[in-house]
Amino acid sequence: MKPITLLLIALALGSASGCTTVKPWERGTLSKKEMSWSPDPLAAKLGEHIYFAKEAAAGGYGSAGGGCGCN
Amino acid sequence: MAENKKNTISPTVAALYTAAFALPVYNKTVTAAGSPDTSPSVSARISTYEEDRLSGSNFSGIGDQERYDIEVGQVKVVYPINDTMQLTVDSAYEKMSGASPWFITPDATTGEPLQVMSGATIDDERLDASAKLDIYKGAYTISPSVGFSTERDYKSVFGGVSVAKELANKSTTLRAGISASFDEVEPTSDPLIDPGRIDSDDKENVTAFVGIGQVIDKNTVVQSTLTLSHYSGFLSDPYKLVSNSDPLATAADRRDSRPDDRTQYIWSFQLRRWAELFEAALHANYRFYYDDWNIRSHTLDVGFLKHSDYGWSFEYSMRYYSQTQADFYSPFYTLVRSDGHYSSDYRLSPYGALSFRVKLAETINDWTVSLSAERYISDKSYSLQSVDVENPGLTDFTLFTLGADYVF
Repeated sequence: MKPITLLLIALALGSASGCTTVKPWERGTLSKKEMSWSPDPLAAKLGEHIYFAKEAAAGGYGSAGGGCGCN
Repeated sequence: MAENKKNTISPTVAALYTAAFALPVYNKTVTAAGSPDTSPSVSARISTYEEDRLSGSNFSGIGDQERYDIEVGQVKVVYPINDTMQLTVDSAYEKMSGASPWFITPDATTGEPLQVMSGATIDDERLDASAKLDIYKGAYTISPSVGFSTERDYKSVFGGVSVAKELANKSTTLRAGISASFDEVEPTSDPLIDPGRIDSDDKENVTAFVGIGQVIDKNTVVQSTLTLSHYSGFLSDPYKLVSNSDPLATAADRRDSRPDDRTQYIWSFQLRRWAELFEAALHANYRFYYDDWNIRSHTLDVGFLKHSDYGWSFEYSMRYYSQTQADFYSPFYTLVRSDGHYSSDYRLSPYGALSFRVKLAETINDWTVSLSAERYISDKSYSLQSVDVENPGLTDFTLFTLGADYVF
């Protein structure tokens, strides 16, 4: 396994190691729009389409989609 | 998940955490699972995309140096049907013109690769549309979706379904999904220029994903997704050729000819962290990609989003991308390959890319208007691996987007 892969898995584990129970009244920050996975879904979709047409890698974020003649 | 504030974790929990992965829900906040939006909304975007002119040092002198200019219009409607269902419909229209890379030829003096471009400007239009229904049933959200894409020489229909389950602690979300697409390619005929071009062919894709999202603390949430995707059918570029100087090469050895299947393995990890000092959110997304054409890539996207209480917002992000080459790729060929696979497409070449994005927005009552810009630059020097020969077809581009959103 490449060192960068090990580092990233360690980061993932490290981020999980300090999990705390968040009470409902403490979730205001997590509900902010800027904390969402995709604050601008249309921009994200266009970006993924452009990168799909320019790069070998595509997808991986859990959305369905069709192809195009651009790749 | 253990309610343990110390920085330790049992091996069993660590193993479970890394063994489970999740799907993101694009237009939901990280904790707003299991309910429709409170009001319908409409979003529209107009974008202009322009690729840089092919540089003279990379140009063979054959074809047109001007690359693609594309105008894109997007619209999206989110409609909460009732307390348990929400419909999302979006569509995009593209109008594109410009020349594209055709094949690469070695310079007669230096042997360096030079790009041959298509001659006449290509004009084309593309329309796509998709619909997704979110059905909320207690802790479950079930989301079927369908869509299509059509252009002069390419048509695609696709559909899928994903399921999300929020665990009782409301801090963990498990997700899974599957989707499929069926594509038909029917390239425009040009018997004088390229008599060997196919008339039509098909391509299929099946993609499945699983994942997990986890609230770490009141300011931090992470998400991890594992994706498996398989393509089969005609995966080559019908318009592209390759230069092959082998005297034994036939016409087939001078066409872009890729394997008829491709399996992709993808892991993505996303982090959202609230920075109280700046009253802004930090976004970090990482993706590792590997396929059985032997291409590996890393993508890292880091962003900073600040929304003020006075209606304005500012976003800045940077994206880094690096990929290795397909094992059958070469700028040009001097020998016939036993597997019959060839491609000089820059998209299968080794390189890296940097992207810089900025967005400004202003919200007044129920309206939000925005303006964003992105600059993308690609070069062999940005690759994580050393690259000996850069593909002369690598492209840089600039994207501007004007947006408007209205919440009813």
